[in-house]
Parts: sequence; C-alpha cells; structure tokens
Amino acid sequence: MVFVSDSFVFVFLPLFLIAYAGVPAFLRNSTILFFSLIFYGWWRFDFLPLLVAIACWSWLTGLWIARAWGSERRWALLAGIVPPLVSLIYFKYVNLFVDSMNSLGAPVKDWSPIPLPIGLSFFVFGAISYSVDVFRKTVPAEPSLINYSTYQAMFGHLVAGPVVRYQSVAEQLKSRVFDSKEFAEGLRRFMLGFAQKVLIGDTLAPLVDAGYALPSPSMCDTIITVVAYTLHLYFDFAGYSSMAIGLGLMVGLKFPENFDNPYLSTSLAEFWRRWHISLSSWLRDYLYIPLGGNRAGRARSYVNLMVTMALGGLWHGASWTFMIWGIWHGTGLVVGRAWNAMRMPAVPAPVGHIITLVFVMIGWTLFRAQDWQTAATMFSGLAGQHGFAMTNGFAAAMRPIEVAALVVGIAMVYLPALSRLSPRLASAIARPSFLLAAVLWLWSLWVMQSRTVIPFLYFQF
Amino acid sequence: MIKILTVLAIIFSGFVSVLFRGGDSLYDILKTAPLNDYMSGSLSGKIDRAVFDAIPRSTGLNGLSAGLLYKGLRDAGPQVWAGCNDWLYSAEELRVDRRDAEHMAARLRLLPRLVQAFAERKILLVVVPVPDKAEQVEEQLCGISADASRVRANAWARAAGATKLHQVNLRDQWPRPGYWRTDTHWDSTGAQFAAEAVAELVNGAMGAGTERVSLTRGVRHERPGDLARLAGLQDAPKWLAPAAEYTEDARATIQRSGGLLDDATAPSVLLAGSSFSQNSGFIEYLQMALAREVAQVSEAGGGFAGALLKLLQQKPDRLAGAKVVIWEWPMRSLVAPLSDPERQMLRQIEGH
Repeated sequence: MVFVSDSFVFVFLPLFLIAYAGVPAFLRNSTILFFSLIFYGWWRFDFLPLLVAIACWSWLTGLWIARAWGSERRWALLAGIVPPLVSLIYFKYVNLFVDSMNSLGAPVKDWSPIPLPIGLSFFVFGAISYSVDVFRKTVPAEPSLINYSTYQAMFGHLVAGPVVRYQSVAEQLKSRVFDSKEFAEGLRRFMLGFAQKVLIGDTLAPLVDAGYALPSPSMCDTIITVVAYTLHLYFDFAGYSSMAIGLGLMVGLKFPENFDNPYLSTSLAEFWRRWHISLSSWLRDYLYIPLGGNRAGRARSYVNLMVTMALGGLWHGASWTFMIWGIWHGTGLVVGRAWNAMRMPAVPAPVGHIITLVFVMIGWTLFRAQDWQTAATMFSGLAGQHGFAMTNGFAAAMRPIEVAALVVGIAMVYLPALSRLSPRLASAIARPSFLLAAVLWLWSLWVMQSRTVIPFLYFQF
Repeated sequence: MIKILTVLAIIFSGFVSVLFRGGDSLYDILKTAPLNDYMSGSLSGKIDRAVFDAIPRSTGLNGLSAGLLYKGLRDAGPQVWAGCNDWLYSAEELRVDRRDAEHMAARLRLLPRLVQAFAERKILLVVVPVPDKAEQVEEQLCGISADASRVRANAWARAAGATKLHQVNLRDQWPRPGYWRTDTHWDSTGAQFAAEAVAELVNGAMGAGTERVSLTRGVRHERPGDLARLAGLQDAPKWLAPAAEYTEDARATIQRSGGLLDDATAPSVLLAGSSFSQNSGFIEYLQMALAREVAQVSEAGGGFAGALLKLLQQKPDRLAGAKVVIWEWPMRSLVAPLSDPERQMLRQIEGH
C-alpha cells in the first residue's frame, strides 16, 4: 500500500485510528503490528512469512546475544546478522549476478527473475542494527516479541524508511503518550509530506520520464531533466519520510529526521550529513566504523570510505550503475577529505555550494538511468553532443504545470536560506502552520483524484 | 482540537463514502477473489480501483480546475498539447521516445507479410495512412514544430517505396485544416477528401461501382472533441473551455431493389481502419464516392494493424467475398508500442 492513495487515506487510516484509539493501552503495539502486516500484505501476502521469520529470528538471536558470554556472543551476533543479510542478498542481488553472468557469456539456464520484497532492505538494516546494538550493549534485548515486531514492521517506516534503530524507539515501545498535541503535530507532518510528494514530486515525474526517453537530448534538455529529477527525488523521498515521521508521531513514536535541507550544502560531506540521514548514519555506524573508520591512518580511511559508499550505492538498487554512483560519491568525499588534510584554502561557501550541487546532480544522472546506454545518452547530452538548444520533442513533453512545479521546487529548496532575514520568516519556514498543511493536503487530495497512483520511488530499494 | 477534528472529519467522510458507495463492489471483489489473488497482491489493485471509484468527485470542480489550468497556463493535461486559438493536439503526435525507431522498424518488418496475406487471397489492399494533425495544422502548434510527424512520414515513405503498395497519399494535397480543433480526428472536409482519394484508387483498379448511394445530412449539433475530453475540459465553464464545434452528421443510404429476398450481395469492399474510419462520416463519403456498399470492420484504438490483424486472424470468413480491403491507420501509430497481435505475428515471421 502507498500512503498517497485513496485506500490508505480513506480506508486504512480511519480503520487504524478507530482501532488504535479504541483498544486498551497494552494492546496498542499489537494493533500497530496487525495493521502493519495488512499494510505490507497489500503488496503481496506471500512475502509476509519472510518478514515475520526475519523479525522472529532477529528477536530470538537478540535474546541469545544478551545472555551469551565470551566467544559465544560473537556466534550469537553472527547468527543474528547473517540470515537476514543472506535473505537480502538473495532477493536483491541474485538477479544482478545472473544478468551479469549472462552478459559475460556464461548464461544461467532456466532462471526466472526473483521479485524483490519491497522494503526488505529497511527491514534487514533494522534487524542488523538491533543485533549489533544488543551486542555492543547499547540497548538491552527486547523481551517482548510483540514490541520487537512492532518496531520492525511499523507501517510508517516499513517499506521505505527512514532506517529506524531500535534504540531510538525502545522506550516508546514500552510506554508512550497518545495525546492530541502529538497527534496534531504528526498529522501536520503527514499532510506536509503528502503535499510535497503529490504537488511537486509526482508532478515532475512525467517530465523526468520524457527527458530520459529522448534518443538524442540536447544540453538544455538534459539539464532541465536532471534538475527536475533532482527535485523529484528529493520531494518524493523527503515527502515520504515526512509522512512516515508524521504517522509515527500520531501514535507517539518518534522516528529520526531523514532530511535537513540537503541541497543547501556547501560540501559533499555536508550533503551526506543532510541527505537520507538515517541511512548515512547507519552506514557510518555499522559499516564504516567496523571497517576501521578513521582509526587506521589516512589511506585506510579513504579505502573504508570508498567501500562504504560503493556498498551504499549498491544497496540502492541491484544494478552496477548504483555502485558506480556510490563510487562517484566516495571519490568526491575522499577528494574533499584530502583537500582538507592537505590544508588547502577553504572554498568560499557559494562556490562550494555550486560545486556540490553540480557534483550531486551528475551523480543523480547516473542514479536515474536504468542502464549504461541511457546513462551514456544523458551524459552525451550534458556534453552538448546533440546540440545545445531545447529540442522540439522535449519542448512538446514539457507541460506548463511541470515548469511551475520546477520553479516552486527550486524556490522551496532555497527558501530556508532566506530564514536569516527575519526570525518570524525562519519560524514560518521551519514549521509551516497546521492550517497551511491542511490546505496543501486538501489540494493534493484533489490533484490525486485526477491522477493514477505514482508509486513511491524508494519502493525499488 | 478543532483543527484535528476537521481533518479527521474529511478522512472519515471518505471512509463513510467508501462504505456506502463502494461497499457492494468491495464485498463482491472480496467474495469472488481466489486465494491466489490475495497472496500475489493482484486483489489490492482491484480494491484500490473500487475505493477510488467510491470517493465522490465534483465534475464541476474538476472542470473548473482544468479550465483554469488551460486558460491560465495553457496546460491541457498530460495527453493533450494546447496550441494557439483553441487548437488541441494529441501529445502522442508530438512526443519523441528512444524506442520509436525500434517500434517503427518492427512494424515495417510486418508490412510485407500483411501485404502478402492479401495478395495470396487476390484481394486489393489499399493502404491509407492518415497524416498527423500536428503536421497538417502546424501553424497552430504555438512554439513547437511537428518534427516527429515528419520523421515518421519520411520513414514510412522510404519503407513504402521499397514495398509494392497500393497507397493513397493524403499528406501532400491535404485540405487544411481538415481536422477538428478539439478532436484528434479529421473533420468532414478531411474525411470527404480522404474518401474521394481512396475511391479514385479503388475505382481506377476495379472500375466504378454501380450501386445507388445517396447522402443526407442531419441537423447541426454541437460536437464535443475527444481531446477536450482528455484534457478534462468537457465540464469546464464555457468561458474557460475551448470554443465549441458544430457538425451535421452525414448518412449514406443504399437504394435496394426492395424484392422479397433482395438481390444485394455481401459487400466486396471492407474498411479495416481505426477510429478515423468511424468518425466524421468517412464511411458514408466512401460509399458515396465508390458507389458501392462498404462493410465496416474498423476498430477504435486499433492503431496500426489492429483491425487488419483481427480480420486475418479471427474473422477470415469475412474475407470470403471481399475484393478490396481499405486499410486506414493513423501515421502516429507507427511508433506506438507494439500490440500483442502485432508482437505475435512478428514472432511467427521471425521464428522466435
């Protein structure tokens, strides 16, 4: 199920709210869990056993890790991590392996592609972080299977994140408030996220599709397409995260923020501190630091960074283009670090901002391309190999409403930068009012009725 | 608290509406769905559709919104290009896609087999590609040109030159505008011109027909355009919508002898086209110009070879007494994704 659908807004949500408000406090986690399983099953019920099995396994091994001593603790940790990881690798990367073998001339016979259970990555990342945190004694093992499963399966973040760590919700799973103030705040966040996705993200989607479908895009076509995709991805994903955070808040669960105006960054390192924060910090804490982080010298830290970004790239999708995208960012981060390490002069903020944004957008060009050929076409367009002026085919595909969404999207990206001008403006931008959120949400609902559902981009990850 | 209740009231009124307006269909869907539909997720698509249908919509409000977008931004939705002076175009004619060349090449590989299928049956196949409205009324496109149409037309001209075809060229002498302003199809001038051009070729090959066909025109009435409908402008207030268009429907009558058993034989001319063949009185003008009865086997949305393939594969008995098949198709359909029957035939031809 997707949040931006009539089924969610007008059927699932009211039924859930009635049930949640109606049951006694001790049954509230069970209610969330029950509805989360339906929410997931809406996609496919036959994959539910997989998720249930991962949750149960992770919960059991968590108890084992907490009770084990000496070397047994390491075995228990491995037992907690390996099976979920293997399931992720199997469902997400075996098709890529088979495709690669086929293209290398060693075809795998009788192979039917395996469907990727949506949200599996987020589920597995949650399980891994839980096992590691229990091992590190950052959190105690959760004694209740219901509470643990609720953390894993909560429908707000189940299919597309943010990557919620058990430690951030552990206390709230035991006791939390269900009051009108938090509910209103959650509702406000949900409505704002809804509007972000529908009014800007989804509006730009057809323009991006049209640009990527051009056989010979000009430089102008490509630049507009890439800018549109940059905004589409941000508003789609930040909108989803906002909806997830809002739904969590409505039932008293506080999920971490996932975006902090990433397109205002003045360096690539800053971009990664502001973009998909929950994933970046997950990769830092559970991959980069275990690899050695910065502790084994400069050269080794660069290698660790490259490995982390490459794997992070591959996590985004089972295609080598994603890995190259990760390596692209890894290289940028290494260059940035080396620049600082060599005590080179600091780049002025506006120049740093432009360089960062151009670097990120070149990366998005590759990120969005389904294959190498598409990526090559787009890069040749960027280089002006098919001319510079806008082509007729692209002009014909560009609707005025899409141009308007492009302009509004750019304005919204830069609006927070203006908040220094006045405290009142700063507060209005940082926390739009409930009334504004409600008006935008109503408008989005109206727009949604005229469109078919555009699936959330991150479902594929 | 009031603000929360207001939002909840909207959500719950939607829920109540789904219960009352969509309850029955939801119950039917749930009752009749096999277990596999539940497991594979295909059921949820049906439920989503039923829920979507159960949510009340205001056609007036939608029309107002579409009208404001149209008048304010000259935006006519994703499927329609708004040109100047209320001229609307199908976005299909203007778009460019990297797979266009692939689709066109596949259809050009189908062409010789289709021609051969009729030659073997000793039936005259008359090919009638309908030029794009974008190319023929290019001056109203406003800001863009019909390059994609020209690319298609030129590619077709090259391919047709290499295959021996009985083709009617409508493109060069087209009676501009010849199309409705708010509809993708030809108007009665365009339809009549096309019919007469086809008749000239058919009569040249078979001799003039002998049946007495008379044409009458109905009363003038408003004609809502399909592009205006696609743009959601059919419910827009008049001051926001494109100006209305009017037509008089043509009706052909074939005068029979009126005997007890009648002496009319099955028509020897078949019209296997697209929605163009079903619009603006094309078949009426055609019968008039041919002086022959024409059997209509066209299919709206049939695209390049929809009606023709259906005739060959599903209704070959219709070809028993046929001497001529008029194959009309819109030029823009050359680059559309291949239909299943087209794909199937291509697989048969190429053996994979």
